[in-house]
Amino acid sequence: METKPNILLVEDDTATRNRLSKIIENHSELSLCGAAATHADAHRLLLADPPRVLLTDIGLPDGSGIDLINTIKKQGLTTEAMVITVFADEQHVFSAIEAGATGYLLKDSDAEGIASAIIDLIAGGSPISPAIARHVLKRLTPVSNDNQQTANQCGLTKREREVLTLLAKGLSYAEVATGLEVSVGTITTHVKNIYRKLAVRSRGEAVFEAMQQGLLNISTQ
Amino acid sequence: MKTNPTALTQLRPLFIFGIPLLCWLSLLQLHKSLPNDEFLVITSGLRLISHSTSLPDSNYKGWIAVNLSDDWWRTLPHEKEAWYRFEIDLAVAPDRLWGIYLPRAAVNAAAWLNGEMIGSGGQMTSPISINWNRPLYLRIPNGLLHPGRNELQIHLVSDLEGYGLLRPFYLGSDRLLAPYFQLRYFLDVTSVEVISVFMVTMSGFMGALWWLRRDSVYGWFAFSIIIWALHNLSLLITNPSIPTAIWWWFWYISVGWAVVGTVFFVSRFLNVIRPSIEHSVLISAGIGSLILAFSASNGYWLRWIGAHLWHSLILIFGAYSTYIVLHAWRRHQHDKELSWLIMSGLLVFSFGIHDWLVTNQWITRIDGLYIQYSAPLVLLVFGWILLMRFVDTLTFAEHLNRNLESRVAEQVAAAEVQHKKIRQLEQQQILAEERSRLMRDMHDGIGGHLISTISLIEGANPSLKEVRKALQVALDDLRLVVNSMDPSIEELETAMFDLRYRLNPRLKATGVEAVWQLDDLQDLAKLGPEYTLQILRIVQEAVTNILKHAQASKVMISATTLNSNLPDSQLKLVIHDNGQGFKMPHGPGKGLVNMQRRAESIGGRVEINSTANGTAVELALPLSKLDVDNTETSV
Repeated sequence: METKPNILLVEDDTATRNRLSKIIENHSELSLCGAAATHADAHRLLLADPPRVLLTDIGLPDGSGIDLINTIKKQGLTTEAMVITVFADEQHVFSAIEAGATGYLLKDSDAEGIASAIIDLIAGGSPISPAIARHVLKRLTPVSNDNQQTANQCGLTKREREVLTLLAKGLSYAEVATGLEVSVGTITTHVKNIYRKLAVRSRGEAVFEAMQQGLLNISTQ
Repeated sequence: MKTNPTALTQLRPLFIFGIPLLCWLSLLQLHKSLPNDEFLVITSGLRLISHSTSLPDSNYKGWIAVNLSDDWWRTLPHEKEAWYRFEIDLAVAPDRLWGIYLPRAAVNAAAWLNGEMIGSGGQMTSPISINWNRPLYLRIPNGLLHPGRNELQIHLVSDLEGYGLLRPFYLGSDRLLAPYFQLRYFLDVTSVEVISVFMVTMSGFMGALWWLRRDSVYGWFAFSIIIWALHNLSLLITNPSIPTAIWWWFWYISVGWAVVGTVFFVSRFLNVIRPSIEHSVLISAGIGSLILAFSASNGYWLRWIGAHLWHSLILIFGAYSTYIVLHAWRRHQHDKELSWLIMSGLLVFSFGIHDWLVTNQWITRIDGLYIQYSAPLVLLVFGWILLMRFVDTLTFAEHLNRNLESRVAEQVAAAEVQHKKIRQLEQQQILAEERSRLMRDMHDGIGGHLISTISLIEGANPSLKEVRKALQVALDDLRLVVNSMDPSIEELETAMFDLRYRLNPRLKATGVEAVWQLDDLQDLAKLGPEYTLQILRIVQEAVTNILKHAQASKVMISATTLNSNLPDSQLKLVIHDNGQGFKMPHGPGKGLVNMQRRAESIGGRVEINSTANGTAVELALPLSKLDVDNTETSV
């Protein structure tokens, strides 16, 4: 059997959960491996059979969707995380991204929009809204102007900054690709790297902070 | 009973002045009665009026018997020169050094013993040395006195007619007699020197105060005492380098001008300035000085005018000063300062009267003049008072400063409290405004949309598709409200970017090509969230209308700023589609009315032009009236 990417849905509102479940189940390229209403259930399901994509609401009755994303990173799972949000407001989405989410989904999107967002995510092309692009530009100040992506683990490359600057103006990937005279695929690659850097960056900061506070001990060998 | 301590307090100056004064006067009297059993006291002899510079013959018929003191003012008012002869009988020759002590031999004297000159007080011919107010002491060479009769001759000269004076004098052992001379010398000369130095110092100090503070009280005080000190020079200098006539003239006028200065000083000190009197004082003093100058060549007249007119005038000035002080004291009897002033004033005045009586020959001048001895106490009192005034002023100023400092501190504290209150109130007001804005936004937006959705559901045959659309509109509006509160969205440009990001997929899904021209917003200053929200709503409403009704294939959303940085600058937002347009047979629809209302709420205007080739919604917003923060333009 060929593997359709399986998705774990976590949403406490029954109507929304049912709607989203139906959309995923009915889509030919996606499969739903579970739907949970609480953090506890979701956690269990996540560890029992790590899905390809975790689609989670942030505010859960017994915890936060962000904790689930943290669990993925802690357990070293390959699961991609995506948060479901009503407003995509900076505060909510950005904390999720910093925890390791690589995309978000607006709850009021139509069926097609939801499915394509998930597929885009799997393909590596999570959408970046202007708000997120602005935030990333602010957070990841360039360390070098080098175009080489490997030059710096956390700093943005010049190209990535250009991509983000255009995204911050509300342009779509296609428009950005046209503006920079590259393919849409190149843009999605850039975006994926940006997400990765953001997560690395945030984890690096966390480690640094933990060391500062004496919570973490790294012995010199 | 209460008056007793006050009376005592007022009497205190009397004691403080009286005791040292009594000591001084008794010291002055001390020399008068030298013990008779130790010294020979010469009280009588013969006198010859002669201009001879050498010893006149004892056989001249002009020799007449005189008793000492011999005061020329009375006996020889027009003479300038005379000889005295005294016979001294000794049983045995003295076996030790003897001396002659002349307590007063004005203006200068030389002595011969048994035909041999034994000494003088200096220059005996014009300009003669002036020893008129100091004692002389001559040592008798050993062996000159012999048993039996000795003849002592004294040559007395005066450059001023009738000024000669010879007091009884003493012969005796040098060891015993010299100390009496030294005491007298100290009282006549050294003490006056000390006093004068003190006066000059005081004058300098007060003069500096006057110079620095331009307070005429200090100035006149300094003037008075420096003139007085100059007057004292006549008691200290024996060989002046100026002509004798000028010297004597200055002696007269200096004391007068010192008193004139005192009149001015006291008047200002007590703040009872009477210009007419002061003018009279100045004029009479000036005239008097001139008259004295004209009469200076004749010693008799100088002395006569000086004593009878000038000194009397001075006394009147002094009396006036004393009167002012007493008058002031009558009104403010409890003023300690005034009591001190009165005491010192009375002291000077009484010494002045003494000297006036002396110079007018109503009492003997053998004790000399007193006025110079009144200076130290007066100076101490006046100096002390002025110093205290100065110190009081300083203290008062410091007190004021401290007071001011504490008051400033209080005010600052009060202002801080006030400031805090104002800030709290401002914050409360901002919060209240923000809340009421949110209420308004909810009411205007999602509230209305939800109500119309409910109406839709309750209507006949509600279509789920319609309901979903209506709810989507409500959510979209709520999203705009949330967006407008996002602190990261401070500029309209950013907000428009977000709107583009959200609307573009929807337009694309409907097959509408969207062109956004937002470059002009780059330089637009921050608008408040209220403005941003209303502008976004207008654009969203216009785009929604296009999606709903226009059947357009293209829409252009452009923002332009006109006349930026000018008073009539404005923002122009145009949403232009190429759809079918619409007619308004029943007036503008609800959506259009809403847009108009929103524009007006932020001071703008919406115009809608619809033709068969498309519709243009145009928002014009004057920027100059906006409360925009122009200091932070977007980058």
